[in-house]
Amino acid sequence: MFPEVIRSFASDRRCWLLALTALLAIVLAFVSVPDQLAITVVSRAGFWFVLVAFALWLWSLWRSFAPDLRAMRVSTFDWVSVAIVVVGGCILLAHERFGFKIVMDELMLLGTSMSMHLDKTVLTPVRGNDIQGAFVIVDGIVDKRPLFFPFLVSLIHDLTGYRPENPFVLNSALTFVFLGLVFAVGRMVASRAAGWIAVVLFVGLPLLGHNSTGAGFELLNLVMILATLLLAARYVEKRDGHTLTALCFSGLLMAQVRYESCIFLLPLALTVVWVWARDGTATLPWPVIFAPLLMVHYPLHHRIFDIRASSWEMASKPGYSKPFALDYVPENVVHALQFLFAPASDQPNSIVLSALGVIAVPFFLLLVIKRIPKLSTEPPINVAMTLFAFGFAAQLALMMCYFWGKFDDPVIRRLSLPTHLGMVLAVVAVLPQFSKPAVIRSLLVVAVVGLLARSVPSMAAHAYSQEYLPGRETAWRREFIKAQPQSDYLMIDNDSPLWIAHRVSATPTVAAVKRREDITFHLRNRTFSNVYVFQRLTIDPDTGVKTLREGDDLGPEFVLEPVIEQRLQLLTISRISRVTAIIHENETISRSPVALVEVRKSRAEIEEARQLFLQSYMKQLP
Amino acid sequence: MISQLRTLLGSRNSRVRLLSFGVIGLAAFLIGFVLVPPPTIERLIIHCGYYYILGVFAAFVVYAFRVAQPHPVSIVARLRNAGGIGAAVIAGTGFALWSDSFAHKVLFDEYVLQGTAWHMHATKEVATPMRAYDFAGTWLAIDTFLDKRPYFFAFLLSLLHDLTGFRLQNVYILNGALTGLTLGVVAWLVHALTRRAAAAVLSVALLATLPVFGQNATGASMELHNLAMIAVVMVCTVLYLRAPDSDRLALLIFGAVLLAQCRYESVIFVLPVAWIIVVGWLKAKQLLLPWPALIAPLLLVPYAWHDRFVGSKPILWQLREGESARFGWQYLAGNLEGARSFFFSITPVQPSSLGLSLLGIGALIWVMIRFIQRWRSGPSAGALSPGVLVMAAFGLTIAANLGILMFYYWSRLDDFVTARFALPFYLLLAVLVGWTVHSLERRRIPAVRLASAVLVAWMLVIGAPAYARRLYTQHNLVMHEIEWELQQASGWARPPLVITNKATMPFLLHRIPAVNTAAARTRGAEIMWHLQQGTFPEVIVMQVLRPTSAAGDVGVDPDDVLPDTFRLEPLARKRFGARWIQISRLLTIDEVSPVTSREQ
Repeated sequence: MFPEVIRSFASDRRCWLLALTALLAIVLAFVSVPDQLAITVVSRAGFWFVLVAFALWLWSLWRSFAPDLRAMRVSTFDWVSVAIVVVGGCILLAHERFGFKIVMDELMLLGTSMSMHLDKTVLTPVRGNDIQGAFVIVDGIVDKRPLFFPFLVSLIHDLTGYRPENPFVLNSALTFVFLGLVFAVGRMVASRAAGWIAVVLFVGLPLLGHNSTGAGFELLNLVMILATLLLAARYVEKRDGHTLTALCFSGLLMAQVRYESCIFLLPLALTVVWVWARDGTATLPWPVIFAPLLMVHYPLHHRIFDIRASSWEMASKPGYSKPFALDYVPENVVHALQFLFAPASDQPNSIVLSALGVIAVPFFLLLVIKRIPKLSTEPPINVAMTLFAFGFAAQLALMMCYFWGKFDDPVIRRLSLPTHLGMVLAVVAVLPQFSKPAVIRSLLVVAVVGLLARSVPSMAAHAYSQEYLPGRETAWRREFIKAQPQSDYLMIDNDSPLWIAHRVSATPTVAAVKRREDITFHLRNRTFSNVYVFQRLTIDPDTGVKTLREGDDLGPEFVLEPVIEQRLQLLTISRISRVTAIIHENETISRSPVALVEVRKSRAEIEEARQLFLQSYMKQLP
Repeated sequence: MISQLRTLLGSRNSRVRLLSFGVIGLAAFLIGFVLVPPPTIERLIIHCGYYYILGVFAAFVVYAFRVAQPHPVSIVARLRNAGGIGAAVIAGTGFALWSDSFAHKVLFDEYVLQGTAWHMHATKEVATPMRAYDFAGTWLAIDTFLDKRPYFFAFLLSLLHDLTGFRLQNVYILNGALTGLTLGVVAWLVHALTRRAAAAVLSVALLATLPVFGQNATGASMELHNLAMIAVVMVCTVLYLRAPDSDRLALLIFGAVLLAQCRYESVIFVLPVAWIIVVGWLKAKQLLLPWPALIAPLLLVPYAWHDRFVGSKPILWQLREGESARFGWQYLAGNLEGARSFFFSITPVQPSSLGLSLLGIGALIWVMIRFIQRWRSGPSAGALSPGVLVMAAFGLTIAANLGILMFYYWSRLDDFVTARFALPFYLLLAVLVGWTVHSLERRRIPAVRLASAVLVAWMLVIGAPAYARRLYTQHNLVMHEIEWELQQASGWARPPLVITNKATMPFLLHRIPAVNTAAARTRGAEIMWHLQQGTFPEVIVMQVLRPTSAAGDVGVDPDDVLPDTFRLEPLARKRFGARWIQISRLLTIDEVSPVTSREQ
């Protein structure tokens, strides 16, 4: 069979074109573009690559689903299931405050969306100021994070105006979409009730609610994985060009949500090849032929990890030398189990989901092994589930080999969401094996009781989020921003993207120390209504001595007056101080008004002085 | 042509009417330009201007109903069946209103217009308050002046105040409604030219996505009103040419008179209207001169008066340092350079649309070629349709209008304040693009799709960043200054007296008493008396601080310096661009005034 198929492919001109574009994409992405140029290309062209891919995806989805949508009747809608999804989504969004939960990830994504909105470039602002009435990004970096999530946020900015809260809007909407897709998979695999079980299991997962009310890309990642799985099932069923295009571009965009999500391109490719092999011919629409070229920016973007070794965040965990290694597996497995079965006060887990998932996964693996030899006789959704099982397994394996792959770490636990999705899919996949409806009903009751008795109280208290200080500090600083009557002050903070994303002039502390003279100029001329600095102090439990966090010290030349401070954790003080004076060349420059001088009468001279000052102002922006 | 005119004058009645028109025209000229001196003009406009514009507007509305009356069912049916075009107009209006923030964009024009509207609403006089105070709970203007701006827009705004109560936001409601009207009329015009919905939708999209259109749709100025009236008068001319009769002629005349009262230079549209009227006579083969046509010259007298009044008051010209005339050759080079950089801007800084500029210029060239071809083919080419005739007449006038503006001292289109002058030209381009894509489409070129692709490409590459930043609006620092000053002045339980370096109108409209710095300098004793009497909780002074060197070293702008006797205590200072606004509290005025002597 296979030699015939290969001969058939070889005789198809389009297959050769696909091979050619793939080869060209590889050369462009890995060989011909030097590192620095690669980053420039991503910065200038990244938005446009994603825009084209997204437009083609929407177009192909429309072409594939238009007949179904036209045939749809409101009277035949499953309103009970819609109500369950809506109520479930509301429960997830109701208990936690919307906020930036993972710092700096979510702030960097917001910053990238800001530059995409303003300039259609990929750049995370690091320095920004109010110049001539308009807030301008003065300096920025290309962030390592993939582009699809900031792209979608930038679209919301484009449509509704820039607002730092727009990622919350997107994630709220994605929560409902995700639950809807979860229900769809459950219903297709087993039954309507199985779909409800899947939805309730996820609604009972506080980790999902934590991310639904955040500004990260986790929800989008889950949505894209599920969308790709469902499109794979549809392609197995329909085998047409539009569905293939939709599937390919879904995968292409999914790979641009989280770094490791490109793993799921493996089951996607398996699905496509399997269908082609069965058909004995390759259906290749033009967008699919050119799809490899629309992925060129992704490997180019990944060069950041070569240019900036710090991108791996190895310094965050001393003692590790490699980002991935088999040595980390035993330790990570222990942490994963600790997360899955920890008390509700410690981790945003769901005991019901963990228990059912751990039980279901081995049975699902047996089912996969059983189905592989006779895959062609299985329904399309089972084919897709079987092939995507490899994707979920590979993703978990990668996480277990990651130096920071500890699921019980406050920053890392969100990476377990695809694993949770795999467990829920395993549960619904084994359900058809039980012939008695009572089993499904019992599971539904267990899931609902688990939701009400454990998950809702856990989400209401959300004690698990209190130990992550950067998240609480970010919320505290956002309250400070809201309390200010005007945003015409300068903030010195190493988390400068937070302030810039809220259109407050900001510069990192390290930059402020280097540019003390410039800040002196602004202080003397009161070009900002105030100059503030954010610092964190740690308290020695034995001596009570307060020590500034490394990198927060402005030095003795900056005279500070505390404005507001708060103990967000027992031995930590977060403080915002006003810079009241700067000692510069043995002279103390303060904000106090200096004597006014006489201005010359001639308008030309006034304009000349204005221009000189403006140039000086621009050069000395902190 | 001459023989045709002779035919028109065949009857005695026609000759008498034409003679009467000539006599009235001569009388109007004498009254308008010779007999009445400027001081009398000022009084006449202030006291009678409101009733004049009310009368013309009422007549326009009456004749609009009379023209529409024979076909009320078809109009309702057409509105109901607007379909794609209606949806495009609604979507275009929504987009334009979304694309910028509701705010005053052209200071102080907009505040002055709102001040005039407020005074019209309160007193039915055409005047703009300079000083106003709260007398026993009544906010009363005690000093006014006749502004240079035509007053039809202010009249409409006052009408809205009359109907719904005075509020500053009414101007945004009016401009929002005018946005929809403009887009709707543009769609009608293009549909009249092409009979094709896609072309009309494209023209609406091109105009609605133009940043300067959205900027003015959400502003408080009279530009959208002027644009709407140009388009409305074009519709009136098409209707008249389709079936010339007395009612349609009257509607056209009243529309043209109202258009002349929209912007200073819009009186130029009287010329194409006059030409179209004669073409209509020839088409109808009779001289139509109903009473509105006979008195038309007299209806233009208030415009002539207003222009003479402004001409007699150079202070109203707002000339800059070193300039002595409003029009001149010396401004041409700079204005042409400004127009080039505006229309063909490839950055989001300008509120222009490169897509519309390129498509429009292409359409303009295509239309000119078609006209030349038709002209060279001679009389056998057949009569032009009403839509084509109107486009030719108004197109030439709009182009001439833009040409005249190139000689004006302050009309660089790349200046954020004067970019709005390009709106009539863009209106013309939008209509021409709709017409041209229809013509090319018939030649089997997918012109609508190609033009739409150009628009989408411009939207993505330049338009979206332009809407996101709105630099053309945000760079207006005076707007930010006034917002802050108003915010600061509103911080007291009772409003303080403000001594401002700007016009007093923004404060007066917010019911905050204000005098400008020049007045305060000469009225120190009176201010001190009120300070002592506690008339105002505070007297606050707003001054501009200027840098005097690269290092800063700020001082008070010479125009804002108060006498040394004014003792000030600085309260707040804020930077705007490369200057600061300082707000100070007036502690006392060191001057022995008669009032303090009496107290002693």
